[in-house]
Amino acid sequence: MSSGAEVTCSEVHRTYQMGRQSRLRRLLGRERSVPEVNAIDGVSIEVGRGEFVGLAGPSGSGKTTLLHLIAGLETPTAGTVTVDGVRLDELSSRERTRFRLDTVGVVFQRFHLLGSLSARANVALPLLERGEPKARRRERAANLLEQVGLGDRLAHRPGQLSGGERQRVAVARALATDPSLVVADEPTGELDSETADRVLDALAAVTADRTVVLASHDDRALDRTDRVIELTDAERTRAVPTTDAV
Amino acid sequence: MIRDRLRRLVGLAGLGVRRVVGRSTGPGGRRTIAGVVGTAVAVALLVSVTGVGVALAADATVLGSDVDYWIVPESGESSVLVASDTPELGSVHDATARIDDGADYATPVLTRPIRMEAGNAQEYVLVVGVIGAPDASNVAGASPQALTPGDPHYANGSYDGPWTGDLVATEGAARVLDVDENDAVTPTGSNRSFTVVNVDRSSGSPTVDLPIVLVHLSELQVLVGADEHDSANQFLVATNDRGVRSELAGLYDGATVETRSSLLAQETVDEGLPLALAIAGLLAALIVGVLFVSVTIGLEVLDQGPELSTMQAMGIGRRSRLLVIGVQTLATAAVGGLLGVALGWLVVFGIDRGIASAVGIPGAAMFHPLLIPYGIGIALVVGLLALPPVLWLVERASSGSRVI
Repeated sequence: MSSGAEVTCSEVHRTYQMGRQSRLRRLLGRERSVPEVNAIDGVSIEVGRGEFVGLAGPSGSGKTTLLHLIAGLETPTAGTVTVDGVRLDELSSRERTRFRLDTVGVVFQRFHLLGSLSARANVALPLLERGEPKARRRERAANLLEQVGLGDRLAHRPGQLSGGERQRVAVARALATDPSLVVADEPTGELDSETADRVLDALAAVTADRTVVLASHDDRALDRTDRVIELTDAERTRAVPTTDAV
Repeated sequence: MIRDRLRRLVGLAGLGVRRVVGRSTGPGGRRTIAGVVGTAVAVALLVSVTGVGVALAADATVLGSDVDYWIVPESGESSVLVASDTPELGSVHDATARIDDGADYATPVLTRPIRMEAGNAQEYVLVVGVIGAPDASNVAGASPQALTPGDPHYANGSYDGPWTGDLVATEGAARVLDVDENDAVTPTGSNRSFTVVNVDRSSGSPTVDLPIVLVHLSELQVLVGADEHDSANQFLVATNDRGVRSELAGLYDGATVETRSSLLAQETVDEGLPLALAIAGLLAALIVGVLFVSVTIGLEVLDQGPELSTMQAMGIGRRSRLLVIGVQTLATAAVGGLLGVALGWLVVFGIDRGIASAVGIPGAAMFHPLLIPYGIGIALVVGLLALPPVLWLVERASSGSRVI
């Protein structure tokens, strides 16, 4: 079992361009200004090993963008993101992909299971990329599905599972490679309250001792975290301080 | 390390195949099925057009004659059916005597279109002169076994031996002359006559419906004036002895020895139409197949954008994602190829039977066993050609940050 990762974001900025400069315009020297949006602007946070941290804030405050940066799905426009001493902004795209495989488990709001594969095959997928033997992949996937309460759904395809069951499969998949860091974006966003509780129970059960960063609007989800970091609207507030809340 | 990598490659390739099966049997699998059907249609087109081309080439060569070697004058035609007005070989009875030892059956063949009368019917038929033998192989689709053995009228070159008048008719000849066994048939303007000793109704011969009759060689030679030089158009030799070929090559200066396989291949190339048909079929299959597969799989890739992005977010590398979709594309094409070959076989069968029943000429299309690997191979080429645009779309569709 992993002991959890240490995450540090320091003065992180992430800007998106709204549209693209055409090559023709560039060639003709008739470039026009492309509007930019600051998704996050000067965010600094620290997450200790084994912490379960919630990210809260209104829509547009940059919760998802911050998760992208921590998971290495994107790189900051400025500032640094460090996970266990590794500067993610200095890694190539290929290195970041490998980093995610080894270090990060991701839980999506809309599950995003591969519809043509069984629950067990979905969970085993990251292990396939590692070249693990088939028997070990199957055993590991079955164990994880057992832990999230889906031991009797191994052969079911996503289309044959309920929303809560799908999200629990996604939680099991995020844990397949035994990552030290788990990021979850609105994992209960598409679920009713009872189902959401079951998913959160599963998440808590399998992520003990790991570092978890969870972005959510759902107070019940945030209640389960060790602490909550409140992000304010980046459009309105250019510098967002680290805030311990609740 | 190498074992891990190999295991990963095999696993990812298996994942690609499983995705084809899973998506085609699951909900929303219409695009996968469309890709398979598109390739199948393209390959069926290829197989059927090539089948027609092969039949065209084969009709001019081997069909109807169950022999292994042809000896033909160098500028001569190699088909019994089209050899009636070509350079001829001389002293053919003597030559036959020299090759008889190494062959199961050897006969010179002389062919002439002759107008024949039987009762009230008068029709041109193709008369084929051969030497009779109880174990003779088929010539021009008919069996000479019912002819009196040997060539009695030849009589060592004197042409005064007994006139047997034996005649074997194909079903087509019997129909146009309205004759059956023991009926008399007379060449128009001749005082010689023949008696039908057998109507060869053996099914399966592509020439069964053509008006062809077999008679003794010397009797035909006398009828058409070919007895002066004891001439014939060609030799047919049936044998299992490969050593006979060199012996056959020494029979005539300026004659060539052809084998069944070389004739088929050579005629396919020599004859413009079959070659053109084969090339047209190939191009059509490639273009139609590549368009179908790349468009349908491309749409599928766009549809699978979230799945590909999910794989990227999970840490599944670019090469692995390309491998999965690449295998998925090739598997779709391969399944389409298999179905296409089966469909093509049905089309070839239908063309053959349809034309045979409509105009009475069979063998319009022919399914050669080589068309099976050919069709599947072309389907895989289709898959390979469709890969670049599909993989480009995979690159465009994968972005881990899109899904969370």
